[in-house]
Amino acid sequence: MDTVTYPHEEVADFIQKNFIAVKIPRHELLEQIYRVPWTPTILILDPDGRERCREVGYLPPEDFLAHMNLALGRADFDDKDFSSAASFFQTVVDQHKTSETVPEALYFLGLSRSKMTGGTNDDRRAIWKQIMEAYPKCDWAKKVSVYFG
Amino acid sequence: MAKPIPWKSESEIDNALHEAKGSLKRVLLDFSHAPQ
Repeated sequence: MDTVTYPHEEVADFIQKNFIAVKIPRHELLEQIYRVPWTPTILILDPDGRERCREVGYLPPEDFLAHMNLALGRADFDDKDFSSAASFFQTVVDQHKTSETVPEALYFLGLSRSKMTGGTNDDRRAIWKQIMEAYPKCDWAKKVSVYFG
Repeated sequence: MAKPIPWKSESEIDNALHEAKGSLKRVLLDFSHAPQ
């Protein structure tokens, strides 16, 4: 992470825009407190210390950005900040087209847009159709398939 | 040239959480020391 991902310009900019970043060197007590048996592990915390996302394993720059945008979108979605969530999900869809996170981003983009516009099925269906067409074998396609009888 | 990430140290977690409270940011904890 330190030699490839974090020096990447887009990654460094993204982290500085969205996070207060803390680097933990080998530290048995903190690894115990945060339940980290393996590195690399990245945790995203709310300001109250609540864990919102956990990524285990190395992520190249492109994947790091896709996963972090998805994670922040999921956190905002759960906090019912649907506009911000949609923005993160849209970034995954538009800027990380080859990432395996795209179907999940489309799923929650559909939900976020639907929540923003009053919850109509048409909003969701238009976006979820993209999952059915482009990623028919993925788990997210199974989740939305019930709406496409 | 990328601007280096201003990492805080492990002793500054509380400061990082406090700083996040005053911003729209969240805290990223990076446990990525050398492979075990």
